Order: sequence, then structure tokens, then C-alpha cells
Amino acid sequence: MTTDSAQRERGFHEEVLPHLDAVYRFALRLSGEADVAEDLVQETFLRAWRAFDQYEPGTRARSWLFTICRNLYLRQRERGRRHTEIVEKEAPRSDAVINPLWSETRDTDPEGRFFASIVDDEVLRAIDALPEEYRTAVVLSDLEGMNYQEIGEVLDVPVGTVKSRLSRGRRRLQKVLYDYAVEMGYVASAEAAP
Amino acid sequence: MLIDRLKGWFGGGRNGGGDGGSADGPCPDDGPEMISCQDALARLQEFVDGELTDLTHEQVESHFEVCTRCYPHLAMESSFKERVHAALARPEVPEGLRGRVLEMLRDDPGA
Repeated sequence: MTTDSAQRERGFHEEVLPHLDAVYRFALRLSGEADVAEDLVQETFLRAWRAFDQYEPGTRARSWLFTICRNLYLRQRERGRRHTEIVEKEAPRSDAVINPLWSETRDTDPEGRFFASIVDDEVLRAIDALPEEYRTAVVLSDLEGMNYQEIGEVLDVPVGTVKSRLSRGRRRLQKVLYDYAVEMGYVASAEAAP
Repeated sequence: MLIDRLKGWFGGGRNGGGDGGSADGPCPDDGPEMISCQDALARLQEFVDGELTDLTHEQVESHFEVCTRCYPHLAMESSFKERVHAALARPEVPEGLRGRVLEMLRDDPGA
């Protein structure tokens, strides 16, 4: 092995491979299937490895990997482009300052304690049912703790769009989880409240 | 954490137990440096996500510390975010995936 290739390999091991678990969890939420996620991870790291000469050391390897992974996923997805258009054209009603869920929970569970009663599988099911654009923003923010700027780089959208997608995605998710909690009796419905 | 402090505070009955009962009452937002409920709620998501500048964060935090009308919004968003994080972090990475990736890279002619 030459010095250059040894350095390259060391750099890849130090900067890129530590993000493997994060990329897997990201790929799992993108695809919803463990097998597909594993394939996405392998393909993502293969692409990153081949393109590692263009990678600037010390920059955001994690964002770079998420970008590669998402692009691979979108290419594999049949209706990607059309789906994006539908999401972007949605009415901005859910961007209202007051969360609509508030009117339903203010008398029954104003602090949203019911969220803690919902099992992981149900939360994940609800996340997986979100449109990809919302789901990705929620995962990058709430799992990875990425800031809006970083999320915007992965999604290739402005910060304002990240904010909007997060807001809409979360409100949809909150509503689905609230309805589930009512159905399961974890929280009294607004109609049943005295 | 702010949310824990607030839960203890409001949960102690200082302002109606955080039950939203005072939501129709006046909001203590009329101090000279206090932002309005509308402004605080408009920044709620960014506040929870840690996206505000230090100054704005402080202003919003000060509002939530004293406003019984807005506090449940913060509590709900925080409960939700914590729940989503916990669920998303749960799946285990398949055993051997790292090894398979390393093997693939070793065998790649593009290396």
C-alpha cells in the first residue's frame, strides 16, 4: 500500500466510518425496511469511498453521507419527483402560530403527557407515514440534532423551507399520535372533556 | 432544563397547575422587555430546536417562564420532541454491517 492510499484509508476510517450507525438509522427511516436500509448504507459508503478524494477534510462528513444516502434513495423511489411537487404545493395552513392540536389538548392534557404513553413502534409507524420531505427533516432534527442550516444542505433547500417542513411534519405527526392516544384511551378526546 | 423547572413550578399550583385554566386571562407580557404571546409562540419551534440567537432565546425563555397561557405549548412541543427522539434512536444497527461495509471497501477496485 502506498503512503497516499494509506493516508486516504486512514482519513476515511477517522472521518467517515464513525457515522455508519447514523447513516443506517437515517436509511431505515427513509426506506422503512431493514434490508433496503442496509443496501443503502453499503452503497452510500461505497460512493463516499470512491469520491473521498474530493472530500475536504474537516468538513461535515455526516451531512455529506446523508446527502449521498438520500440521493440514492430518491433515485430508487418511483414517484419521487411528483411527490415532492405535491408536498410543496400544500396550503400553508399548518404554519399558523397556534398549533391546532392545542385546541384539542388544552383541557385534557395541556402538556402533551400522552406522547409518553405511545409505544415506539407506533411512533415510528407514524413517522414512516409522513411524506419523505417532512420525514427527513424531522429525522435529521430530532434524531441527529442537526441545525436548520445543516438540514438545508442535506435537502438542498433554504433554511426557511427546512423550518416549514419541520413545522408541518411535526404537526401532522402530533395529530396522528394524538388521534391514536385518544383511540387507545391514553388521553380523553376534546369532545368528551367536561 | 427549562421544561423541568417549569413543570415543577406550574405543577406546584402556582398558576392553576398548568391546566390551561388561565389561558383566557391576561398574559404577563406587558413588561417593557417582555415579548408578546404571539411572538413567543411564533418562535416556539426555533426555541425548542435551539435555533435562536442568545438574546432572542433569552427573551422567549423569559416569556415562557411567566406565561401560563404559553407554557403548555412549550411543554407539549418538548414532550413530543423527546418522544420522537427516543423512538428514532431505538433501532439497533444490524450486527456485522460495519464488517460488511469494510469488506466491500477493501474489495473495491476504485479504492
